[in-house]
Amino acid sequence: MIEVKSVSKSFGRLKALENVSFKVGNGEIVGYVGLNGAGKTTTIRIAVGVLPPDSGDVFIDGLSITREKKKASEKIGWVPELPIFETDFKALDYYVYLAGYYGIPAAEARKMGKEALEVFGLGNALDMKLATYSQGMKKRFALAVSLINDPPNFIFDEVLNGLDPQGIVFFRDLAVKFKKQGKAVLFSSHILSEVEGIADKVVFIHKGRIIGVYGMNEIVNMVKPSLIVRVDKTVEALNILEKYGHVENRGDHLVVSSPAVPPNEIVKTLVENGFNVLEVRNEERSLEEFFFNLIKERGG
Amino acid sequence: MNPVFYDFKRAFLRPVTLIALAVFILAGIGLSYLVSISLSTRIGDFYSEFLAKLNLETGEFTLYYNIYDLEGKPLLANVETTLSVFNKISEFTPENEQPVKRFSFTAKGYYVFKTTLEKSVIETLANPDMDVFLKIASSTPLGYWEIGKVLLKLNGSEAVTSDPMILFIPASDIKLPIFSAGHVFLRDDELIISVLIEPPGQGFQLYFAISSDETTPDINNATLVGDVSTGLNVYRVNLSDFNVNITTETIIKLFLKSSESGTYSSDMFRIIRLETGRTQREITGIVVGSPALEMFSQFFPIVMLYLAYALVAKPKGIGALEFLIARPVTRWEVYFTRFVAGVLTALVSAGVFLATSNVGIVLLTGYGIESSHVVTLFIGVTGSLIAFYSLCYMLSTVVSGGKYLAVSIFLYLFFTIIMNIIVFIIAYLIYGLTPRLGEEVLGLQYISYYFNPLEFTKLCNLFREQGLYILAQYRRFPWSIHT
Repeated sequence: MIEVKSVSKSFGRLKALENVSFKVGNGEIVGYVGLNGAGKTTTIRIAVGVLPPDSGDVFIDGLSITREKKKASEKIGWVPELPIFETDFKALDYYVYLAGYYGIPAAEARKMGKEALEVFGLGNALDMKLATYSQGMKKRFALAVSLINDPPNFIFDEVLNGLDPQGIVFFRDLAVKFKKQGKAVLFSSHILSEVEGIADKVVFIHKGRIIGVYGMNEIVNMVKPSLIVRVDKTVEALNILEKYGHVENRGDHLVVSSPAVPPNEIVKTLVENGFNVLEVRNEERSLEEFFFNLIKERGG
Repeated sequence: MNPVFYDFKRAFLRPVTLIALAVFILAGIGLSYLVSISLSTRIGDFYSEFLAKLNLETGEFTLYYNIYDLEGKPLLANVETTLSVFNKISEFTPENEQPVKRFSFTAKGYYVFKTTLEKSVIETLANPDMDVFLKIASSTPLGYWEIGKVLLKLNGSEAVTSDPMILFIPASDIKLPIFSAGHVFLRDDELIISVLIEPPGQGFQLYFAISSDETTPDINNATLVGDVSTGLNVYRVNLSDFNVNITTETIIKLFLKSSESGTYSSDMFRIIRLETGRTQREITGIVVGSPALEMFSQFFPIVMLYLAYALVAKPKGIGALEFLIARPVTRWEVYFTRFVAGVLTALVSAGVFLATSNVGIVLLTGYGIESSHVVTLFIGVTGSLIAFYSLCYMLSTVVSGGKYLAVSIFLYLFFTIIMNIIVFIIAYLIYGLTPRLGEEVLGLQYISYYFNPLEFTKLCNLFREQGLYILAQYRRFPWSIHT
């Protein structure tokens, strides 16, 4: 279980995180969604122990990452958005080197490394320098290293960025597999639809503050379709349609968000008031709209 | 693998480290040759002895040769001997020398050279108007020495000479004296008598007598040391059994005695006190003042500067340490591990450099740097590297990448060049152009060593010299230390 408790962090005058708290339970995938610069990576860097928080703490299976760093780090794996390694290392050598921090002897680590890198599609690149690896290869390498001791908690930080469709499917499937294995998985992204289908719940962060925590089902339920109406006199129709919900004038047509009555009643009213109804159709509201509305409502 | 050793492996097996080390190993080998050449081209500091006999009828020439170093150990020598003749009435100058025969051989301590000369050579040497001159040149790792002696034609058939000559005079005038060569050494309480001799008969025994006053010892108060055989005779006598105190005034007299031939006695001569470690001290002096050591102390820190960059400043600058710190390790441990890796590199590099130099010197000369000074040099050189590495390392944890390189290179230049200039300027401003200026500059330089990580080697040598001086003072005047 990953428990982020009242974490705050500032860089100079910039408040990167302000009292951030949330939990990722075992066997659960939590999406961590926010715009670029919202504070997702800062939270994750604090959670994996590479950045000290100003206040608050992160507990990995009950172990404080600030006070029991070594023990806590044994229980968490991390695939960063842009993994950066020491460039002069060859992949297998770096694996062996990092395995040393897990107390694994060199010969055993070498054997483990060959197998792990083979599993993650890097079997042909064992002796290549890490500097020559592509982003996708680096992420796979980071994954292989993070799985050295098969930790019960895992964090994917914007891991789908820059990946080809095959890579995207690989990491999404992996997250689901981890969930089935009972691991706690935090899956960060700046696109809500990326976590749709895999996340059990989504934590939204904006400008360093948590602006909402919703179950995925809850989000889907809240995302109701809008009604698109095209009439001959758009401006005049606006006053009538406002009775049924929030109306947005998009020039040649109007959009009624979450209309309170069925579409046929709206059409009937318009016709009775002398409008020529040229087009009426439902518009599926996207998850991103939900996200942006959330930012608008709670983001300040 | 333990990350410390892995980081050490990365640091030590880095091309820049290996190339620099290879360069300095070559410099160390060069240093070995420098020491060897410096020692072998000077006037020899050793004890050689020879006894030469020439039979003017048969042409048999025998040369008993022996050579010791200053500690009384056998020494390797390339020996060239020349038999020449001089006209007795002409002036004894090199121009009048007529070389007749040359020989050469290599001796490791004692060596017997025997040959039979050609008839024409014998005729020349046997000419009664000519003096026969024997020149012996010894080339050793400890220097070169040439000595010439006239062979004394004892009777019509035999010519003989020796050096340093110990002439045993018979008690009876009708007998010929016995020529021999040798030394009497003193090492701690042990008297070592080394004699090259060809006794004229069987049953000779050697006696010695010591006198610390003006009195001349005789055979009655002499002590038997052993039987005498042809060639080299070495006798060791433990003086603690004799209750004698050897001083610089002590003299020794040797006696040869045989039941058939009677008694022969030598002149009185002084005992040589063997010096331990003098050659090593001289080698150490050459090494300490050599450019190779200075170069290593001054230039290898560049490798240390680079290591701090490669191990910390660079990965920290590009953010590569984060992935590492996410492992079950603390940030402090990562920094400490990499610091230790650099320190180990400094220790091994300095060790390899000094070991190579010393082994080279031992192989070429047979002697090494004083063992106590090897420790001082090692501490000095590694201290210098570690001190500068620590400074660079500290810097690398604060500034990363290019900034680190800029600041650390400035620091390197500051300690190697600018600091010395500042010392000169300060000395000039304080003392002006006075005769004391040179002395004061030296004094200020010594003070500056305390603040200069690259001069730790010099500081160590300075402390060692001061320590030895204080120790020597204490040995001479222990009360002065207590008061």
